[in-house]
Amino acid sequence: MCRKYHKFTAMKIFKSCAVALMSILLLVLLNGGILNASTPWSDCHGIDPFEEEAEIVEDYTGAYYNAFYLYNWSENNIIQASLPVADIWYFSGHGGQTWYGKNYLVAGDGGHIMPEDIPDLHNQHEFAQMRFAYASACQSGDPDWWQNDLPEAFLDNGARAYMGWADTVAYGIAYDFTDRFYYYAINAAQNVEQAKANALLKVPEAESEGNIQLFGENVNLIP
Amino acid sequence: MRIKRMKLGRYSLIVVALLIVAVAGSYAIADFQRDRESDEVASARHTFECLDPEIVDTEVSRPEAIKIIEKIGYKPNNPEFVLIRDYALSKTYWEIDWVEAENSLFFDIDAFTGEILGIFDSSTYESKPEEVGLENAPEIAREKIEEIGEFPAEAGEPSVERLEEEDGEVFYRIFWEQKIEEIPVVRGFMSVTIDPAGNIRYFSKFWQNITIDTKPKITEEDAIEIARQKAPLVDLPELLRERIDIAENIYANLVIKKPFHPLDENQPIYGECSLIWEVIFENVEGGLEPTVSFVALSIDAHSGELVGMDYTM
Repeated sequence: MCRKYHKFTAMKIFKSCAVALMSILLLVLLNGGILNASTPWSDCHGIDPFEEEAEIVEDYTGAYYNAFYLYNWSENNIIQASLPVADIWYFSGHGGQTWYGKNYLVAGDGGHIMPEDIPDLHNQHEFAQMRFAYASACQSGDPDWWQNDLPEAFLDNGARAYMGWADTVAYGIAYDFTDRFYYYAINAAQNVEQAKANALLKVPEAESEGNIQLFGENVNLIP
Repeated sequence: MRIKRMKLGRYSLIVVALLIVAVAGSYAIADFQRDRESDEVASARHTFECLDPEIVDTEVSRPEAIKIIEKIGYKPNNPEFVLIRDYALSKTYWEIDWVEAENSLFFDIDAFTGEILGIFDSSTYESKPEEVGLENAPEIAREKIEEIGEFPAEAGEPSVERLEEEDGEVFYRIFWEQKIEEIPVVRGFMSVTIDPAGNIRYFSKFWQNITIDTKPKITEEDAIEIARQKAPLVDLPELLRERIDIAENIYANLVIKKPFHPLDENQPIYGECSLIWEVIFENVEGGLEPTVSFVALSIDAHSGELVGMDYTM
């Protein structure tokens, strides 16, 4: 009697669990197709007052960015929670350099992301390594022969390609260039060199004034 | 038997209920995603827009655009078309691209005038004896432009640059900035990159067709004073406010441009083209590589109104 009761209870639990698991699986399968349409395969940051540029990038990439929730990303969040897991990484914000010419990005809390802060960008979740990083900030693409700057830091730590501005750049120019660059790289599925060249045809100031620079491999943003 | 049937019925009910929950959940998430995506599309202010050629009427059709390209010696093979309305460059054009022997070719053809606005040609040309050098590059570039369209009569002296690629390939870039009565037109330009044999590799001509009163009604000093008075009234982030407050140099440039509206989401990203005093609040930071940062307030040179702004990143 007692054994029978145990058997009965075990069966009941087993069946209930099976039904629950099947339902969860069904739910995941049904939602998978929908969620995959905007898979966060890239990470995107617009630091106040540059959210407008982040919004146009989000529009192309479906990147994980929401001005209301990720407003003012802190230095630690960017270094620990964003850079190590992003496949395509994009930052729009202020940039600067120290008196000896080492460049940095300014995070939402005012913290400086220095070249030595860039973490290991290899072996991230389902991606082998970061494919492309673009820091749309003044002097983010200015390498110095006598020291490691942001371009070298990204490439040395695993990014296959990196883009940044070698000089100070007006927001109007960066905004226009960025809009076109992602259009060509995502919507027209061009490699980054082609996308940059095509965007420069429409925004030549990006070269003559901001001095946009591309480093590393000629990657495709569309896998 | 009856108990078994009852149990089966109960399990079936549970399964059906869970299925309903799963389907309802999927739709709820899909709705959320759709809402979020439509919000994003509405909030992102792009500098250009892709139009539906089935809805927008153009003077130049797709076959006509192809004929224009063929006329200058190209043979588009299975080309793709995108119709673009460019807010920054004030043009509506066909962007036509195709691949030829693994090389990408892009053309921009004005959808209303048929003018060639852009060429991107990544083909590899057979090497020929060098014909182009720094000295004759502007003249050769001009001849090449005249072969594919009209050379603007008011184009002044261009800047010439010799570009050497990593693989040793050399190009010459010749650039004309548009000016109306010596006043620069922001985003008005013509640029051509030719190889040493004189082949056009990149070309863009966004020469603006503008009729504007070039006599400002307010002086540079007035514009600076207006900018100083209006700056505190603008809702600026702290960093930009600080830049204005501690500016080392304040000066104004007279330009013709579409004012930029980065911070006001309720306005289109660009305003109407007008004569503008661009009042610059500039700071210079020292060090091994001095850095210049600024906030620019755009003051309409006729009305004295603050119509836009820009700043370094």
